[in-house]
Amino acid sequence: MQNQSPKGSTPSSVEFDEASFRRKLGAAIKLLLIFCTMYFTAAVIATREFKHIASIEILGMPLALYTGVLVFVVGLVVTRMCLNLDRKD
Amino acid sequence: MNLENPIAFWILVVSLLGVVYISWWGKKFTSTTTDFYVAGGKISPRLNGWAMFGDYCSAASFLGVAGAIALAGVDSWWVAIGFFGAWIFVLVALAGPLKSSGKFTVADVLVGRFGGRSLKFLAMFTTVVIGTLYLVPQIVGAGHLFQLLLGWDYMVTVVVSAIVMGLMVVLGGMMGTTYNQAVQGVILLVAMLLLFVMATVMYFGGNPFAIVSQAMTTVPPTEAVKVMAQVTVPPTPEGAYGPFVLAEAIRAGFANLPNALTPGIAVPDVWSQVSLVLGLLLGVAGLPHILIRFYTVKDAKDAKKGAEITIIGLAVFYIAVLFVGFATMMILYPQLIEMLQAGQRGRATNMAIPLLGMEMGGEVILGIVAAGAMAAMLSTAVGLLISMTTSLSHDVYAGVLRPNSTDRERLVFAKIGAVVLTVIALLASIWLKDQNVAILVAMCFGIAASTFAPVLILSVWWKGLTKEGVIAGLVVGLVVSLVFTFARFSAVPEIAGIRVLGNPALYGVPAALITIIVVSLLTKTTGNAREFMGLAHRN
Repeated sequence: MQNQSPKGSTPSSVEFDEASFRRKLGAAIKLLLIFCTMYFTAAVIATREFKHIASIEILGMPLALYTGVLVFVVGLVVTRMCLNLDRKD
Repeated sequence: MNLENPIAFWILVVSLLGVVYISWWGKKFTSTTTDFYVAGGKISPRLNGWAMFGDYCSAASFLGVAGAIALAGVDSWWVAIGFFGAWIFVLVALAGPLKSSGKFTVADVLVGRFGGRSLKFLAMFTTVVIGTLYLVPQIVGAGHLFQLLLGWDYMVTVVVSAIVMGLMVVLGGMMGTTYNQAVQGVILLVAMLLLFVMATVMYFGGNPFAIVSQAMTTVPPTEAVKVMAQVTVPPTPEGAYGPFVLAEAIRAGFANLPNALTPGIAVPDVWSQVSLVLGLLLGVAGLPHILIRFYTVKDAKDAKKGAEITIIGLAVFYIAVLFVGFATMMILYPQLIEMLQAGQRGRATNMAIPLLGMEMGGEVILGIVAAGAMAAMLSTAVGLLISMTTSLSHDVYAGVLRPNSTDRERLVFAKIGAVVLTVIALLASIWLKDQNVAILVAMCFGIAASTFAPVLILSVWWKGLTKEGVIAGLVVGLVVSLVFTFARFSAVPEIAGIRVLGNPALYGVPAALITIIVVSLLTKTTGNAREFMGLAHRN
């Protein structure tokens, strides 16, 4: 790839650190994978095609309700993990 | 003046005057365009977190989602879950790099890496399209709310709502807007929690889980309305159905009908659901009025801290919304069915929450709820107008048309832009008056997810991205998502054999991503990738 410096772009004196970038990219992918797995699983089982799974009752409540609440819980955990990673950096 | 709910109306007027005062107060901090656009980058993370919460929780969150749950049950909660999930994506993938590499608008990030006027113009155009469409549900919601309070015609109320929204921007800048959004964020969270507590105490013996238990025996109004002709239930001595009488009569007569917790009723099929949740997940990463808030703080760490406060607030708010939605269904059951029978689905969805306030606490609670709803709509509308006018003024007027213009000329241009864009959104609000505001907002998320989201994420994470890839991806994503959005509102079932879904993201996002990647692999203008990445990912 050609590296052309365009006119009007932001000048920068910050050195690009490939190792740090790769570490951050890896961490971001892992965190998003954790969240997206929960998010899309919960979303898909709530559809008409998979409602027999979502309707399974646990302690008198359908599974869909638990998975919906779990999305919030996992989201909050991922948020904290993300900020903790920042602190380490 | 003939007012249908005078006490509620005056509570709303007082809260509106408070908002106008804060805007006017914020004006003294707005002497330069930097102050107008991003409050000089001097906002604290905590204040920014609350402002983002107020900015984000629009009419869709406050009125639309709870109203939709009240009509169709737990399936409608998915919009709220998506609204929440989007913030996790923004926090992890975009908040830090965006703050580190930009200054005022999303165009800054792209221009920072690639330079060029064409990108600035295209980014401005996309910002204005998304912002104007997003403004529509705020005006529709405000129009319905004023109609409920005043009993005026919808046409009059939407015009009044649009004028108030435009005036807020013309009066102040980002500092006043930030304080307004933060105060409004607190108001709407308190209003939602107040409804939750009142409903629980007054109707469910103080036990919130009793709301869920009752929901498990209640047929959602959208299903109940189909069998209403076969239902006979004696009215109570007051001459109207009690809150639970009709629901129990329907359940007794139709044991096989679904309940409010039955999944798969309001979600048509798996592809529609995937399209919706994909659009919601990526949408915030492409919403200019949210992204601009990351520029109002000092650095990337403060941007993320603010996002955490927003995320915690949203989790509390959207879980409360589920309970309030169920409670609304049961408490307003006869009224909701009546509105559905009268063909007023839009009104039933968007006004269920204010009506719940009226039912539980009379005009005073209606006034507080109306103030909360108006806060949600105003803060979002003003945030949208600020981001659009910033893009118009900074990216196009100062960046392309008149680079030597003075600060004052740019401010005047921004304020004229606010008026013009409000008028355009007002006309669209008249066309789309019967749509659920949550669905309208979800469509905007789909467009944002198909345009800015992939472009911005790849700009800060992929060194191989090229300027041509960005332009092609933005154009393709915008065209595909807009075509499917307007097809949906025009009730077109399919385009070239492709089914039109409830949200355009399932087509727009892959179309944009594939275009960006293929064009980038075929071209070479990667910009100052290394320097830009160094800046975006500095600690």
